[in-house]
Amino acid sequence: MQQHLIEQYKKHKDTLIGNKESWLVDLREEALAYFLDQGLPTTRQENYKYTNLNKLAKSTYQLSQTNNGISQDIIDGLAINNHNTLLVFVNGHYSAVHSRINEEQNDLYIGSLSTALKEKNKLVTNYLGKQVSLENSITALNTVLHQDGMVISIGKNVDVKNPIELLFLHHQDDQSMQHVRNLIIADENSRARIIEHHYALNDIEYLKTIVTEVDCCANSHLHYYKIQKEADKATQLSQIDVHQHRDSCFKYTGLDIGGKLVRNDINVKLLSSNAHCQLNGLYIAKNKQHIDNHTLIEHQSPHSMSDENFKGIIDNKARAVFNGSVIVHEGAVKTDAKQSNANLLLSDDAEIDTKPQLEIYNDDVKCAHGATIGQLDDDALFYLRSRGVSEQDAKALLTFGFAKSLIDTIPEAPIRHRLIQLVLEKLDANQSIKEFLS
Amino acid sequence: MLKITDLKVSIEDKDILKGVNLEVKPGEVHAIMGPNGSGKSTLSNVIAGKDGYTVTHGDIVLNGTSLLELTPEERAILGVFLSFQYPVEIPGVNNIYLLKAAVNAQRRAQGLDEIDAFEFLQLVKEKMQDLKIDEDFLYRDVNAGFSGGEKKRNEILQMTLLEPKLAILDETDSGLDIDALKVVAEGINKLRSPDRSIILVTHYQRLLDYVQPDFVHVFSKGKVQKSGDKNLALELEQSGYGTIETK
Repeated sequence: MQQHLIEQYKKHKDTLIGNKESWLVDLREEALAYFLDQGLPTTRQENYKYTNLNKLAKSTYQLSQTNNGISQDIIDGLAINNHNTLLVFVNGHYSAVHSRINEEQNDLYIGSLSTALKEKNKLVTNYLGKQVSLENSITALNTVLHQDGMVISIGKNVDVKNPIELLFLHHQDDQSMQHVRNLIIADENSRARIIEHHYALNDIEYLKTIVTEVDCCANSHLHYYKIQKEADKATQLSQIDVHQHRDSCFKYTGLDIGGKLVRNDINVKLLSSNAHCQLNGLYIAKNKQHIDNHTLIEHQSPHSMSDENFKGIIDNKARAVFNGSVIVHEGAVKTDAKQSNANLLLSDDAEIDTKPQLEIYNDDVKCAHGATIGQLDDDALFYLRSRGVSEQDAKALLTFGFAKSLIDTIPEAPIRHRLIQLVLEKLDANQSIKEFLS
Repeated sequence: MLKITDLKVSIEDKDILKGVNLEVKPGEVHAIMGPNGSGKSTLSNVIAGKDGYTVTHGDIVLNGTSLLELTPEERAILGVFLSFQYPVEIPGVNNIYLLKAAVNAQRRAQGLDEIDAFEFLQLVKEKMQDLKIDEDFLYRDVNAGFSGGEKKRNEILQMTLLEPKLAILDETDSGLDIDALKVVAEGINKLRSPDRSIILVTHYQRLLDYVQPDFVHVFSKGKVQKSGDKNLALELEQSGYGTIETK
């Protein structure tokens, strides 16, 4: 892929956002040098042991073009709530006509990265590329070619009332690639909920990379949702890097149902005392889908808490990977870390590779982790069928029941309902079951 | 109503039922009694259509239709109801969902519209009062964390709503305290009707003090060894199953 990346970079460098900002051009080129040296990860690397990017390495996707042919009806149908601020991106490009900022507050900035480079130049200069290590091929690839993304800066004591929605749509533009770069800064004592969701309007092949940098200042509360229903042939590689300061709370809820090849890297650093993070993820893989979740939580100071709960449903010949690392660094006394990964395999050919990892360099900590793999309970199936529920419905009910405890943790009803709707569609539940559960 | 003729059933080549004959007419209550391991539960499961059993001979016919080739849900829709000895816990599925799903599956099969949600809730609440079941029970996961008595009352509640033609109650009395037993027995008695058949499978005669059977069959070694009226149950209580097995 290296040669192709050079060509793409040369072809587009004069039109990429921030092309007049020398620091950003330098950053792109530094990343390019790293990628040229390293290329994409291979299965020989521990972190990619179960996720093969060989085919991607041979791809020659062209940098994506925007598409103006999306009707507002489609956008309205996909947005979770009309009251919410909504930023729309089409094929990775910001679409101002479809976007709306419904929340105006002092010290609250919501905008595309391209706009923020003009309006909030100092902020972007200070933060972009600072939370992530550039010594990572996916981040490097994203850094070289990122086209746009969003910047949200929530000022001190600002409480953002409604969730902020980021809608990433893919429309036409087959065999393309897009690179999204997001930046979130939650200042002291601020609160916000952000929903990043991804949908494809056609069944085509493309690559999307997303790098999101999050800084949670003291006592800030952020709930970040990532809902992903990419096209069946698509690849999505996403990375979120979170820095948490004193008393901050970061909550992540993820749903992965789309894509052919999906990889999420979620890295959280609990930098100061009493920081708390909660990571919840649900993945449903069917046919030949491959969904990989890698999480890394680093407890770096005393009294920090982490609570992680991932659940997976894997059917047909699909494969899922869960790798959850928790590292308790020296000095991080009174750490409280919980991690769990439960999987439901619905076919003999489905596969899960799960690896909970705990590294503790400290006494006086409380850590628990576990992974389970199971099938549908035959007795429960018979019980439901003996009450007249068809075999298909009984399976859908039990499968949904497995996922439900995770969905129930979502406090906002409209978001919860969207997840329920997407999960039921994915499980091919028939109309009567949908009515029961919605 | 139900006619079982020379039914032979095995599990993994082990013969469990060795030629069962049983006829239950509409409106009748039959008690099947017998020691543990005599095949009572196997008979219940085979009528309801559970996997894992091989019927090697004979037939089970309900109102002229052989059940053997039918799926459990098809049998349920024809009017077969099995109250489980050990009702299964189903995390993530609300009790009310299951009740509604079950009732609507039957209604669809009969060509009726799905039941109105409000009407249904009223109906369920009424039946729950009869069975002394708390309302919060509806919104809890099916049987999850229920006590033994609550599980059995939930079975009777389902049966009451589904109004089956043939109800089989497998060890419904086991594990119940005396108060719960009375409530459950009342629930069963309310369901007695001229067009419904009930089979009580039980190890003890205690339930039969509250639900008086028309016939009692003693089951042993995979067969009905002796049939009689309710006095047979009392006789058994005194002499034990041993006397029948040795015959």
